[in-house]
Amino acid sequence: MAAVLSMYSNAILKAFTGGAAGGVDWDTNAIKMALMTAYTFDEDHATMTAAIAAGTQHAAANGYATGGATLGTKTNTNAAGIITFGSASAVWTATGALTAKYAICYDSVTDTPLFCINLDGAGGDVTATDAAFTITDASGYFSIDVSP
Amino acid sequence: MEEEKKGTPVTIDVEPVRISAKAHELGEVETGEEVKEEEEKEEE
Repeated sequence: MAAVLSMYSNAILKAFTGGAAGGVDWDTNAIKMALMTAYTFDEDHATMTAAIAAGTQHAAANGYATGGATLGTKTNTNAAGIITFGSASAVWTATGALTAKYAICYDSVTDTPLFCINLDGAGGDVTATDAAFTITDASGYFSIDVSP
Repeated sequence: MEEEKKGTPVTIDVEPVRISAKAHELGEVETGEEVKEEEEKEEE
């Protein structure tokens, strides 16, 4: 089954109303991807702290560091009125079995959850063993279409 | 010689979510004459 990506409401709200201190800044702020071993998605989780509290983040083990991986080479493109946000792949090198059910992408500076990825689309475990655990976005994570 | 460990990698491909903010029609524009006629009807 394919992964399913869901946006958080505060990702959009803070893009327009967050101001210089509290707004989401895809380009400048450290955007991170955390792995969760248990979680029930709620689009209204207002902060990453609240999202983590509602589930279980992967322990600092098996190649995973608490807080997750920082996304590299973040991109935003505007082509024919479609603005798309992406990044380089998030990659962990599993030591033993690295297992997770969900990944949450968040702005680590403003503690804002941006989107949640249900890794197998059904809330099941996804495991890499002594190899790369990769989340890749060939066409971006999300886009906003303002074309006529 | 030590045997090379072969792991099991996993790759999750994300399909992007698209948020639609496309233009939409707001309704028909009434001309000055049409508005006047409507107002007159309402007065009657």
